[in-house]
Amino acid sequence: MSIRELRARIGEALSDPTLSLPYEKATATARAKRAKAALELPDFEDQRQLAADARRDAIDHLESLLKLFEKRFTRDGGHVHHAADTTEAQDIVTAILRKHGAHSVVKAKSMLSEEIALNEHLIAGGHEVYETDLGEFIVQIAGQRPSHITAPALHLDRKDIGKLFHEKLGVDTTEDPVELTMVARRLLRERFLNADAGISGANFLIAQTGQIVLLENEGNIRMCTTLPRVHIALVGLEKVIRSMEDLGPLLSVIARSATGQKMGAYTSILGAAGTPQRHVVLVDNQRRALANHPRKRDILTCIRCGACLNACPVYERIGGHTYESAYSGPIGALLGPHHLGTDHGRELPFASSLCGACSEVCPVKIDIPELLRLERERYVETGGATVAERLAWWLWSKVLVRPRLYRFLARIGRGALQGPGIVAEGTFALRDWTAGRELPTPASTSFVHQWKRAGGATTKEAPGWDRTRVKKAWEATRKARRSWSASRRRRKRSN
Amino acid sequence: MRIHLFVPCYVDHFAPEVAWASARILQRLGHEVVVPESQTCCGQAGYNSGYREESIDVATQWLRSFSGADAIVGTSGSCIAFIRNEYPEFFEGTPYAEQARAISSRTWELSAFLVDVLQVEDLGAVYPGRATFHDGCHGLRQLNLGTQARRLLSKVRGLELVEMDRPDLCCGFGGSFSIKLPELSVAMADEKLKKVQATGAELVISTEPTCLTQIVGRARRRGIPLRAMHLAEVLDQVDGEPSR
Repeated sequence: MSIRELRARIGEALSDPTLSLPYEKATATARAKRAKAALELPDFEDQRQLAADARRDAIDHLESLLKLFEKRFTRDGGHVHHAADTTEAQDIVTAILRKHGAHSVVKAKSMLSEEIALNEHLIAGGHEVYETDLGEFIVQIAGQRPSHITAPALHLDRKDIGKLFHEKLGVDTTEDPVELTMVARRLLRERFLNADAGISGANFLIAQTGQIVLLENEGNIRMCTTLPRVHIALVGLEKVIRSMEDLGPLLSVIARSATGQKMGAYTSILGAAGTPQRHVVLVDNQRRALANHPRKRDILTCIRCGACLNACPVYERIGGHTYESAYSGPIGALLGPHHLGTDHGRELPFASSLCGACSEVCPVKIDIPELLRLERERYVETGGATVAERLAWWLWSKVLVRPRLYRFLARIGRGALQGPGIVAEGTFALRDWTAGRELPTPASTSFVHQWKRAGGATTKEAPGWDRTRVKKAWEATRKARRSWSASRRRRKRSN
Repeated sequence: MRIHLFVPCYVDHFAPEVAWASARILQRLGHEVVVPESQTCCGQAGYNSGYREESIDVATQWLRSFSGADAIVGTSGSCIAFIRNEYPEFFEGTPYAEQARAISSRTWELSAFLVDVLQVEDLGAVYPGRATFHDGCHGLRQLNLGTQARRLLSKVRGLELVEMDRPDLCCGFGGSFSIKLPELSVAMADEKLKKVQATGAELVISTEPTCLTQIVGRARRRGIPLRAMHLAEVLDQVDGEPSR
């Protein structure tokens, strides 16, 4: 998809004046709670660093940790499956269900299942699939997709939900959150007891102990992972961590960052021994390719807490659905170009002012603006930008290294802008500015010119500089980087 | 001290009074101000839009223009953050690596230079009125700016500074973002304006000239009475007039 189409989509979202209201309210609460929770822990910043280190260590040793996890998990009687892409992941899940004669499936919240559109696939295959996380439950009966990584029904208020329950479940209309929750609870209880299989995601996989870590507030994950006779955990392969020691700091920061809680209500650490039978489906879907990139690999350290969404001034305006991707917000804009959860996300990195509010709160310190910028570079390098835009920036780089030409052209430009509105309205870049804002009035003469005229001291540029030398050196480092990541990929493949 | 004044391209052509105010403030403090006449732009605009190669050319011009400077002071947190944080990596492995490292550490945003380097807070400015302060994102998050400006403003006689809710909320400018996704950019400006208006202040102050253009450009279109002043302009005020 192009930036033009993204702009149209955003325009549509903004034309609904009520769309941003639930986002404003929910993210404001989340921001305040997170800030308070971070302050409550005196060594929060240290914990954050430890959490970031633990995740980076895991991505650095991804293959060996995955092997170790598999060894431990299977030793204890569990099953590990490897899915290269969406289709493989869907097929693996279907095969497991078939093998166990499982018809009815209860699901705990899993963003990965959104990424691979698992529900649609299973339902098409004749399965009954029930979301059991309250937010996911609401979104499912509404026939929608989650609007937030951790709060799937954030875009709906209790009025909407009351109406929805009345229409779809035939219960009396109510706006009382407790009553609404009880409606869902009664229905879900039955589904839990009758389910043949439970499907969950995973927050972490602990390599050294071969365990699955799941965090939640509602208790539905516990039901999904213990009541049915088979449990399938659908896991992005980047979710592995080294050890129980590494889990500590991650637990310290994840709930605080997500909901402002010290800990979620339930922390489940599940081994493979005993019943139900446990399957872990490790999904790649471009994750290994990301792990091989020297800088973009940081994207994989994400622990899906949603803090960046809550901090993002763009997400708050346009809401989660406008991203048209399983993952929304700043992290969704990073995953999009790599086709994680969307097949048209190349343009998403432009939906950011690069303000940095996201990285400020990221519990694992992902430099999101820098990574968004890198994705923009890739967009340009792979021919995403229009010819006019490329030409404009090419000219920019040619003119701005010739101070006299630059000053001459700037004078003409300022003059034109001071003339009748025809320039502002007729030039496309300026037209996009002036559609909603007044253009500032340019100065009649530039400061540098005024300064010189007033007799201020000036200096001249240093002689003998050679831009081509800089460029050549830069090209060389870029090549070195490329071959470094290529050799890394080769090494990994041969492992 | 001999100070090289960095005039961000926007200031040069749209807000020369901001550069004048900075120069006068530094001169009043007894420093010599020189202006490299070959300076054009720091190169950030292209870099953030995905044009790294083009940006390197422009950055080289900047580095060349300021080579040999002992101290460089500029009036945009965003440009300075770019120079301080990105230039060393930009020029790594090039013949100008050392120069880039040295120069980036000698480049200061005005409020940080005044408070952190010169350790001056009271510039004797007088400016009666009520104002609110907007933090520019890059200055705030990449240079830890914000406290310096507030300290300087707290010493301005007659000025009542009213903090808005979320002074660190992005105004929606974002360089080329503002023309790539203008509707979104404007919606963000509206949100910022809501916070500004809630303070009752009719003056917004910032260290970021382009944020001010965005905020006031939107306010003017909507007919909201709001004025904008760069921090330097406020600090240069004596009896409600620029010092001259």
